[in-house]
Amino acid sequence: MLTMTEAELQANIRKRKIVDMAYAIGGFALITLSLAVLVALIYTLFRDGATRLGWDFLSSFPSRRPENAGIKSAFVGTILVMFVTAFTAIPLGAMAGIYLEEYGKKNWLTTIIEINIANLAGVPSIIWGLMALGLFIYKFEDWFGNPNDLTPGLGRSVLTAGLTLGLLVLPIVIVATREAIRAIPQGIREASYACGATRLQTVQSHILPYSLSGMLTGAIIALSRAIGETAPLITIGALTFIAFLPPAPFASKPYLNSTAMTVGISEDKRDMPLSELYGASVTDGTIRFHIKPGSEDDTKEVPHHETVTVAATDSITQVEEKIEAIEGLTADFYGDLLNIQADFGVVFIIEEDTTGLIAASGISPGGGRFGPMEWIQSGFTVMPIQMFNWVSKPNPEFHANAAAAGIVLLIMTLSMNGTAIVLRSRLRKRIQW
Amino acid sequence: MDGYGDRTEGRRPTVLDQEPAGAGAAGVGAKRTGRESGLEVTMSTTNTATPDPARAGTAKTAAHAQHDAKAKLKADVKGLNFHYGTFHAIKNVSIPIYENRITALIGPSGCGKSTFLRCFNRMHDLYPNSKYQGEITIHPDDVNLIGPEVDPILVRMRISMVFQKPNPFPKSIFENVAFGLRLRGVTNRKVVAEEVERALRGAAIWEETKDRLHESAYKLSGGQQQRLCIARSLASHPEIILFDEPTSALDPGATLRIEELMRELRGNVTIIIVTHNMQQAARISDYTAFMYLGELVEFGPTAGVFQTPKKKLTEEYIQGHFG
Repeated sequence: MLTMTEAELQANIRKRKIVDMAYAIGGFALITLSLAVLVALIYTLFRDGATRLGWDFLSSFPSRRPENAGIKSAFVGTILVMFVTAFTAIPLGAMAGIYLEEYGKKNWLTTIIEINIANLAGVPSIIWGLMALGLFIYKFEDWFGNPNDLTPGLGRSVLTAGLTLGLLVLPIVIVATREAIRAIPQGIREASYACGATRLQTVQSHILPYSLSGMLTGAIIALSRAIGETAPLITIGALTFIAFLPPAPFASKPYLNSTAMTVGISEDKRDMPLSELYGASVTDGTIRFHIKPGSEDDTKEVPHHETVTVAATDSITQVEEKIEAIEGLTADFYGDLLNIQADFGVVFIIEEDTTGLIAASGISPGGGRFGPMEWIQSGFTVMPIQMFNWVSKPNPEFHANAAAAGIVLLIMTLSMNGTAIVLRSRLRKRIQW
Repeated sequence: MDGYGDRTEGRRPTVLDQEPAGAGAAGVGAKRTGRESGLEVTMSTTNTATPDPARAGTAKTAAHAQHDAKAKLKADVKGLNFHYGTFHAIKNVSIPIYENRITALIGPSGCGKSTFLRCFNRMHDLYPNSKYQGEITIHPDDVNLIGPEVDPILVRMRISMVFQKPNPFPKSIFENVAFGLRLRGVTNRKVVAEEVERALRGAAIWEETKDRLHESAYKLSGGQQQRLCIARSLASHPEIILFDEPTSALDPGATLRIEELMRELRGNVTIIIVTHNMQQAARISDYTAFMYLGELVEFGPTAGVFQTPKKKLTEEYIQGHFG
């Protein structure tokens, strides 16, 4: 049997080559098929949505009229939420991975942690949403909310959304980090320790820089997953219709917008003069508002200024009445803090305050009570939610909007990944084992 | 024990080193002969496959034949035992290490010579379940290197190491050598540059690298990488340098250069070298220790051990009967 004639050998080789070829053809057919589906998907997206794309689409808030509607708030919301997600998941995941690989001793505790990380990666995203709703929104309010706080807990904010998605993708980052660290030859570690390095010096000088490209791969996968998530954000109460942007970081003026609040007025302070409540920090003067109506029906008046004159002897009830005289604004003293709210969709800026009341009631002049980070407390929507909202409307013109938003989301994801891939290949060029 | 975190399997050099001695001896022997015959091409004047007692009179070996009276003691190993988990890897080994001399550790695979070497810079502390007993006293300050009260980092700052496989960091040539200085917090650019140059000159690689100090170390050839690793170990002014089979991954030409370099370093720094290559031990070392199954069989001036071994086992190993 082992001794074959030339002809037998050739027949044998031919037979094996046919199998080889069949495998290659089959594989090619399958990959073509799956790519064709993808191409068809992208083609439909462009066919339906391309006409809606344009600067107006990007720079308009959503509207009742499909031809006026845009993705401004969703686009900015997605970028902000991704920002928080990246800043939560990447450092936390990298540090956890480094700890588990370089510091953690092998014992039952680390084994449990490892098993849990693997399992967490498989938890459905809606569960994360429920966790965030229960913990970040309800429990944090119970634990940390105080009656003087205008926004107890984390609220339904960019911060909550970013943290939720950050936790959702954390296992991906941890696993990728650990894989990257394991790829570093043990000889490198030994060389570092043999030079007299401590663990931290070894991590800083070697482990971290050499595993950075692998961590970036993890970050790409993690953020690509997060950018398309809808379920957990709907659970935590992302808004589907927003006609304002979160306050810009480092805005020069205090900037507030409508936030849903349950207001309890402390009755004993109702008729107290401001001078008694705040002392000399509040004087006679004026507060000037810049009102930007951003209502859904697009019929309200253009942005305008409103001025309120306040005297130090006014009671808080009087101040409330003066502010509420402005259309679209309501004011409440909450404890001894002044909480000014706008009707839904209305945005206002406090341009000037000569009374000292705004500062005295806890609003810092740097840009709201959270300074440059005010945006983190803002309500938000994101691209997938905006798309979902439009797709569920009966008017087919909204469906074109959804397709156009899909194209933008696709471009956002690709450019995010592209940046990471360029960074990664640069890092890889320097390091090859 | 001061474990540096657990490593999963495949990261236990001590275990890798401790395959059962004698198993597959023929195969190992065959491989070694191949490597040596390769060496002979470049070192035709130096040696033959097995040392011939008749060559005892050659000038080079004669210089090594007796204990060098001028040699001072650098370190004393007394009753060293090392356990890896339940495995007793080093059994009651005692040898002296002489200052500015080369001490070679030879023996078949798995005899514990690498494990022994790695006790000197507490490398075993990086892995769990290692236990030292006995003393390695370094002179003149008489510190017991393996004492639990001694910080392994301090030990590693005094005793540097060159590994079997060249393991430069994936950084520039300059940064590889400067790493030890940066660890010590040396930030003065001039001092760092001077020390890097001194170390590179010391490792006989300055001429080849002086114009490309900021290129990646991975662009160097294997032999150059190993000399860079020697430069890295020299940069910290070590009292002892440990060489763990430094030429086993190199070609004969590169091996020759490393050996020349070690001879140049002799006289300025104490060297302990583990080698599989008996000719290498015979060529470069002043003292030789032969280990077998974790025990020290014989220690003495190299020429003595090779030409007039006191133990039958040593003679058989040197003549290539096993290992």
